[in-house]
Parts: sequence; structure tokens; C-alpha cells
Amino acid sequence: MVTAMQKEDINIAAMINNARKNEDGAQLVFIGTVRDDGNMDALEIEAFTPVAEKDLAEISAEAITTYNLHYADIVHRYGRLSVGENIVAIVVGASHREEAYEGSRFIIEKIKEKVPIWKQELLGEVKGDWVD
Amino acid sequence: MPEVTIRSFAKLREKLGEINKISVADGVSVYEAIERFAENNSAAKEELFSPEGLKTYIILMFNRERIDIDDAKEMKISDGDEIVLYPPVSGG
Repeated sequence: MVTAMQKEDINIAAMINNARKNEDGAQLVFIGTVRDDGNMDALEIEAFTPVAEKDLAEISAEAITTYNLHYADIVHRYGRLSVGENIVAIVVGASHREEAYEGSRFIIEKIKEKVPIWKQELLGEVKGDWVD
Repeated sequence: MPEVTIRSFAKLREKLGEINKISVADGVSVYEAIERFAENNSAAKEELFSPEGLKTYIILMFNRERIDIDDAKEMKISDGDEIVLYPPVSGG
């Protein structure tokens, strides 16, 4: 199981290749990216990193158990991220697509509900709104 | 007198500062420690409290474990404890 909080970009191809198992009938990748909402060119991602890392590990373990996944790898970034950059990558594998879709959806919804991570819009050096 | 660290994140950090340290009397609860903090900090009073008490959207952690307001009223402060306050999260 791979879960991490990191500043640097995510090597999604490596995540996919490292996770792939012969038992997989479905491997699903979710990538969250910085969307251009207008009047911003980046997001500052703030995190309570030690707690966020623990939460990601717990969410991954729960997803594996609940949805019968072979793995549930999650990498989330923090720091200043420009429009179009990767924020989070989730790679899950399962025997069938239903479990993969449901497990991946469970993970991203849990992250949004629970993990201490916040986003603030930036335009140059000007700080804007916090994202709800 | 026990000293407690109050750490804030995101919008609350902007208003309160990232880290505040306060001393409280022996035997006070986590909730009472937050009240003491707000009594001496007008920004904290405005951000954290309504006339009904601690604002319910604020998420609390005590020594890195999530607690609710009822827990905060029961749990007692010891020297070196950490209270974390933060607004709803928005990761992903």
C-alpha cells in the first residue's frame, strides 16, 4: 500500500506500473487537478501533514477491505500548484470494474470529507478565497 | 500552571496565527482552555465563538486525535498538550 503527502509532482505512470497485479481485471486511476476557476492562476494547498498521512493510510485500508480491492494507492500534494497541475492521484485495482469504481469514489469522497487539507486561490502573490 | 499549544490551520491560521501558547489553571478542560484563549484574544473570540458557545463548524483535535465539543468539555489539560483548531477541509 502506497500513501503519501508530498510537495513534488506525482509520477502517475510509476504508480500504475508499480501497483499492477495479475489478479487485476480493472485498474482505475483518478487524478485531481487544479482547475482554472477564473481570477486565479494557482492554489496553495495547506495540510496538517502528519495527520493527513495517517488519514490517507486509514482510508486506503478501509477501501481495500470494504470494496475488495487489491490495492488502493493515494498520493496527495501540498504547496503552491499552478492551474493544470496534479493535486491527487488514486490508483486502485480490483478483479472487476464495479469494485474499482466504487472504491475509487469512496476514497476521493473520504479525502474531501475528512483529511486536514485546504486550498486557497492565488493570483500571482495575491491570496484569494479559501475553497469550500 | 499547565501550558497548552493551540495550533490553527487555513482560514483560522490567518486570523489567529499558526501557534499560540497559553497557560491555564490546573484542572481546566480543553473547552475551558479554548475559552481562556478567546478571552485574551479578540480575533479568537470572534472567529471561534458565537453566543451559544464554540462554533460548531470548527473541527477540534486534542493531541492529534479528533474530538467533539462534548469530549472537549470532559477532557482535562496537562502540561504540553496540543489543541488543534481548523475549518472544514477541502482536499482532493
